[in-house]
Amino acid sequence: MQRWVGHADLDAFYASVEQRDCPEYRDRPVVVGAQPGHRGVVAAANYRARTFGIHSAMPIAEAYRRCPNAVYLRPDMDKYARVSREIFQILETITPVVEPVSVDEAYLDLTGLEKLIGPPEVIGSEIKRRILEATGLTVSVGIGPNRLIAKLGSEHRKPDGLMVVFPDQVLAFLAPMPVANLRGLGRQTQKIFAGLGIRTVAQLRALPPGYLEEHLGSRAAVSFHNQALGIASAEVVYGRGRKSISKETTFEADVREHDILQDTLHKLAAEVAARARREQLSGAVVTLKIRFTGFETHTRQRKLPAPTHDERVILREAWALFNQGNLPRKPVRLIGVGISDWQQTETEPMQADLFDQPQKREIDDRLLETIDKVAGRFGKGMLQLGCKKEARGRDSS
Amino acid sequence: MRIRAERDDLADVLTRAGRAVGTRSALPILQGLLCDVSGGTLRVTGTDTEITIETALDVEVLEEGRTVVPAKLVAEAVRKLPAGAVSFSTSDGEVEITGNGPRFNLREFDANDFPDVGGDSDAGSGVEMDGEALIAALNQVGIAASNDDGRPTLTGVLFETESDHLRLVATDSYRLAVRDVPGVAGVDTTLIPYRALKEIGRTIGADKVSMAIAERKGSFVSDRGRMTARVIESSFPNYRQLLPDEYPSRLTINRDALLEAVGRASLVAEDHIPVRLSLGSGGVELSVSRQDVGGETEYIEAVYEGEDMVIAFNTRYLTDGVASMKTENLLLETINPLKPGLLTAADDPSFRYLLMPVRL
Repeated sequence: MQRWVGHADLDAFYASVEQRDCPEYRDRPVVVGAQPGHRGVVAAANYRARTFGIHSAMPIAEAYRRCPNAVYLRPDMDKYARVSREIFQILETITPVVEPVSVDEAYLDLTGLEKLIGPPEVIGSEIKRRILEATGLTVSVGIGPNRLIAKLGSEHRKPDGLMVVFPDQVLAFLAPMPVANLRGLGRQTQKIFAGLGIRTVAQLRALPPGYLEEHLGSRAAVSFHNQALGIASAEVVYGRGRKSISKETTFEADVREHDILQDTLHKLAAEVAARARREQLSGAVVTLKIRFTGFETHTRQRKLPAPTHDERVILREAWALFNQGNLPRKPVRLIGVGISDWQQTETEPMQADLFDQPQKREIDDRLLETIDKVAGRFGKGMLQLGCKKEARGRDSS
Repeated sequence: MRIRAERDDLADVLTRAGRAVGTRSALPILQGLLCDVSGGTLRVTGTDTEITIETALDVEVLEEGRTVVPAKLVAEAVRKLPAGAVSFSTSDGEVEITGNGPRFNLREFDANDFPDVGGDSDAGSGVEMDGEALIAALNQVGIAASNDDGRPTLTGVLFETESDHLRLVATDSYRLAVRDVPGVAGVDTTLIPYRALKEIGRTIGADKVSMAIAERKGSFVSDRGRMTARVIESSFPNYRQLLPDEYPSRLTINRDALLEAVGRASLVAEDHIPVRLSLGSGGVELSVSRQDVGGETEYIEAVYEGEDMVIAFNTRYLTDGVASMKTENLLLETINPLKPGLLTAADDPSFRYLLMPVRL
């Protein structure tokens, strides 16, 4: 049976949601992110704003310099999360196999739906129609024999596009594309390609075997060779998409005080943990991200003996990473924490803890459940677990 | 200051004190060793503020004084000089180290910047103990101490007095080691980082070592020097509740046979894969299997009293416990596959190693 993979990607998601809710923004450039005059970056820019060269992750000051007349909005993550859930529910009316990549992007396994809905073009229009009708938002959809082609397809006709690439069209579809569109192409690799005069996938494909390996190493060479031929995985895994949950915050002014840093981490850890519990995930790796004055950014990771979705554990580990991560002692501009490496606690053998009593674990579970319920009814942050500040004070001299 | 000393003696006191100097200290001064000469004695101090090691050497004093010199460099420089007498003197912000020709000139740190890390004003004479026995006991319990600085309490060894003798306890929450040291009495309950304690043997180990606790510091003194460590100020978990008086099942097994068998199982195990012990009358079957790799199985004859049971342990934790007991036969006592098992030497109950199983 012909495999069909779909890739659905909302167009300028945050900005589009804001525009939908505020018709007066309709014909204006809209930038969601930090407020100009403050610090931080662009989270999303609508297509109008993009004509000014504004793109996500650009420092907000730079965006403002390019287009002072744009509408600048602070992100309303709760609202986007609500809309996102709605969209994923719609996607699941098309196929049960939906793999989220982020709040506004997903892969879909569309194999075998021809008899149910119709040929790929019809499935694609159906996805677009259902999302537009229910949410008023446009989505770009790419459909192809594997993930790579689906993803490149959705990018190809953005915004509000639909692109179906049949297996026999794959090579022709890829040929004129700039190599920069391929996956796993970092700045360094891009430089190497530029140095070799390789601009398009067709040129890449025409290289003699072994040539690429010499310049990029064998792993990258194999990857690009496969991509140039349109070879990629067609596997879509339900729910797998999210690889990590993380939260970060940029301070208005650089922070040195450990108390403030720890309290901030506490809040972020609570949000990460609550999110993990909502999605029924437990992570075995805790990551601390920290950016110092001057944009110098570090991450530190620690693998836990057992996966967690408890903010107390996440905070404890993150704080230990902060203190023992051999980090420079400079004022902190941004701090963030995340968990990843999902593990199923029940099926794998697990090293038990001498002091961990099953009754206590039950109490903990109930406690966390209660916190989530309170947050659901009265809003986030109403109830937070006190975390013992065991490690505070050490190294703070 | 100006002194003269034998190369090997000088290198020795510098190297031993230097073991307290951290490799990644934030303050440059902590990369240095304080050398203090007065009354015919050179006193060398190294510290990372958590652990301090002081050594002393009688030297020929030409001029008293103090300086702080880069620890690693000075110790190596002295060591690499030709054998014989070495002279060590300061002038104009430099330390000159010479001996039979070569001359090092090294920048000194300002001795006034060196942190005040205690010195000689220790209260009390302390509790004296046999140095060798203490170091052996520390090595035994130390295997169970955690090196996860995120949980400082578990990185320590608990010292406490149990009826008439000293007891040492350490746990990383997966295993717990308890060592009774007979003949030592009067030690106050305290928790000291194992990271510090393991330096005792390497730096100040001697026939007699005395221990004192004062001002939130534990210090160990011998005729070779002093090691002082900041105590961990949190309460040690209640370990006693984990040690029942009796176990319903008991395996008596040859220690070397078990150690070798677990060693073979470990080849396959790695990571978090446990080794399964099927306990039954006549002996124990060890087996390990790992997806995508394969497995290993073997049977060891042994004496088993109790109900048949399959219990699984992390191979590294099991290896640590078995290896730490130098004896002919071991006892492995168990309750059920979810409760901790207890390892002891059949002929010596002074060391107990409690091990939490892996839930299958």
